[in-house]
Amino acid sequence: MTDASINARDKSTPHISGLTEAEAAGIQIFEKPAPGSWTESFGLSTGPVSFEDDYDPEFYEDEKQAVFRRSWLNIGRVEQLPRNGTYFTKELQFLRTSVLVIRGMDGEIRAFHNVCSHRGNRLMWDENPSEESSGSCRQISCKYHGWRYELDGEISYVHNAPEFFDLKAEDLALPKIHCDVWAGFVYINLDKEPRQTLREFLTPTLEKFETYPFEKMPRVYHFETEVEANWKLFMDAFQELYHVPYVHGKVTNAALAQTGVDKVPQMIPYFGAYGKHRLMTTGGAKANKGVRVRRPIDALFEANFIGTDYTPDIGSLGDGVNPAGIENWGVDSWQLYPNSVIIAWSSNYWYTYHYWPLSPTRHRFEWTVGFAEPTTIRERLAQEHALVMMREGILQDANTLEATQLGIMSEGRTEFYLCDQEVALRHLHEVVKADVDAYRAEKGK
Amino acid sequence: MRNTTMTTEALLPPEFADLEPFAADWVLPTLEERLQRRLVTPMVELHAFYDAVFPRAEAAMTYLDQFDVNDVPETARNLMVLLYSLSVVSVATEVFSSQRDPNAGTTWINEVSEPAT
Ligand code: FES
Ligand SMILES: [Fe+2]
Repeated sequence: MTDASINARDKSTPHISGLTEAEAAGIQIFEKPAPGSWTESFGLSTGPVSFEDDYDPEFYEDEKQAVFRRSWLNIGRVEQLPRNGTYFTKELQFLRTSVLVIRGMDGEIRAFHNVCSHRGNRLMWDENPSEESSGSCRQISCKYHGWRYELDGEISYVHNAPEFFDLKAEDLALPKIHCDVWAGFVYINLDKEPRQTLREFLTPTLEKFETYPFEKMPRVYHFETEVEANWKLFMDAFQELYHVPYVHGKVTNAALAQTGVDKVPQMIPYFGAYGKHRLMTTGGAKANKGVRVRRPIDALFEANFIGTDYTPDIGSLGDGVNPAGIENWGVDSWQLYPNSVIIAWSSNYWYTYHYWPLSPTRHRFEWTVGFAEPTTIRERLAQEHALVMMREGILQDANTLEATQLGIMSEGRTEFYLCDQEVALRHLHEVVKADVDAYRAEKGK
Repeated sequence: MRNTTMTTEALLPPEFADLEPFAADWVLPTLEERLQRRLVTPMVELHAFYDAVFPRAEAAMTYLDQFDVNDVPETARNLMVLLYSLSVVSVATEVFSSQRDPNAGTTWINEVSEPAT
């Protein structure tokens, strides 16, 4: 593939095919599946794409219904509900919904609309009713007129009840939201009747990933920000590595001085489509040497933007990692439909990303990292340094999004060109569009 | 930037008295606070911190080796946190030559929670 003839190209000819000499010097190329490209193996077209789905207000309205009100949504983890009676709320303002998730006295996790049956007051909140809250309680009580509910949502107390007309307990229970748990992740589905069970939705391959030992990596850091870009654009930024040599040049690139090559294309050895979800598996820290760098501080703390050098012993990783069986497995990045990501790293820590729409052109981004308990102070320092460097990398990813959003929205052009390394993001936009089309067809739009 | 209240008690172990002038500013409990401190500290001071702490870091880590990670005495813990700050400061001195990524615009990612250290 490293066609030498293109290196001798005429300066006046645009360089739009083949590799430059510098690129060819560092790249590691992997075999592609039978049709000759990942994109075709996903059953996707290879033509230009439109990004109208990332700003059009009408599309956004339909996407809420077609995608977010019909899909299983990951809204938290079981560790947020450590004991019976503990709860948290999740604000989905773009759906005008506040979800109350609570572990009942029977240990069951249930989800309800966070709204009182009397006059509609929001039930669980702390200082500000539109902010998320968490805690523990024996009953759910309303701040307005004191109605109370059991943790399974049944009504238990109405203040001055004789003044009411024909109250029936069965009418007054809190409205339930479909709720299920997979791999310790709490999912809800806002559909009246979910079209698939959570496990059907996840497909058998992802179902197996349930055996991954998240609980052995309980040191959790949580970050949030709001980004002036459609939620899908940030998903896109984490489902290709094509941007890495440019966006992350300073943090991640091979320093010219150390390796003699710069701007080496990063190649993903495996992409797979599983239902509406996608998997990218890469070598991570075991990837192409030509794209690794070690600054003095990384050498000191034995960690860098890709994690700690040491790998904590957490026993078996279950039977769900590296389903494609790639050599030198480093990272599984599961892009879960519609708006969450789970990344499992071979040096035994994990990430999740969540992207919650706020408007057609704005979203809230959440990043969670889980490490194993350190056994020494040096391990603790390595975790801290890895975290600092990862955060800088993620900040760089977020930086470009506002500019992308502005460019797309300008409609200065309406066709854009994706390469085979960008198959995962092409897939996301296609699946979203297919869901919106199906919804529109149903509604006769 | 220096804390104006005079404290007679040292924050760091006596072996690292040379780093004491940095402790008041940089022994900060959370990553978010250390990042915020980097943002408001002039580059010349960040370089001074890096140039003083980096050469002492290996000795500090060797000193810390004697403690159980779950049972670190206060001055040793402060020394450990000072090394966390070294990581945060190195981003400015080794990577960006700036308190923050010059291409970051106003983008910021807020640390909302972290494990008890
Ligand atoms: S609105 Fe809840 S008790 Fe009246
Ligand atoms: Fe990136």
